[in-house]
Amino acid sequence: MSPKIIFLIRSNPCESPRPAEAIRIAAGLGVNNNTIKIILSGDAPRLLSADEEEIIDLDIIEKFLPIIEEWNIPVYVDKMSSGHVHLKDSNYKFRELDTDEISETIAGGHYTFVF
Amino acid sequence: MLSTAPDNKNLDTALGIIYAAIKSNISVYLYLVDEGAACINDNRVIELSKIGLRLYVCAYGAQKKRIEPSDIASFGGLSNLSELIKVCDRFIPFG
Repeated sequence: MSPKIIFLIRSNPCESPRPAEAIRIAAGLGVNNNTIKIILSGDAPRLLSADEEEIIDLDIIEKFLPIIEEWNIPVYVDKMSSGHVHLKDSNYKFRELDTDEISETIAGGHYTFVF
Repeated sequence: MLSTAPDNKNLDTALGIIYAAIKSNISVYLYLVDEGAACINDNRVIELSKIGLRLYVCAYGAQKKRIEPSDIASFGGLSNLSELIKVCDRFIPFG
C-alpha cells in the first residue's frame, strides 16, 4: 500500500521559499505512486493567486503546480486562512475546506509534512 | 526527514531520537531536504554519521544552499526520500 502523505503548507510564499519547495517535493513524491494531498493554510494560499508578483521561487511554483494538477493531486485551501482572499482569479483548481475537514484530511494520512 | 534550518529546535529533537535509536541498535536514516540540507554541516550530525546514522541530502536543496558534496552523505533526488518512506518501519517528518 502506498503511503498517504499530507503536505500542510503554512508559510508565506512572499516571505519564504518553503512553500515553493513544498510544491516541488509534493510533485516529486507524487511521481512515485505515493498518495499526496496538499493543504494550504495561513498565507500559503497566495501561491495559487494569479496576481502575486512577489512570490519567492515563482518559477518553481509555475513549473510544478501544473504537474500536480495534471496528476490530480488534490489541493485544498483553508477557508479561514488569511491567504484565501487572494484567490478570486486563480488559474489553479482547488477546493476549500473548513477546519473539521482539514482535521479529517490530516488524520487520514500516514504522514504530514509541514512547510 | 528534516526540512528545517539548523537553528530550528527540530534539529535537537531529531538528533535526540536518532541517538536513542542508534543506541538501541535500530537502523536510522536521515533525509535532509529544503532548509534542512544545511544541517549536514552540524557537528552533531557528522558525529552521528560516524556511529551508524545513514545520511541523505536532497541534491537540489544542497545546490541551492551551495553545500559541497561530501563522503558522509548520499546526495540524491526525491526518489531516495520516496524509497525511504516506503521501506522504513517508522518514518518521522520534522518540518
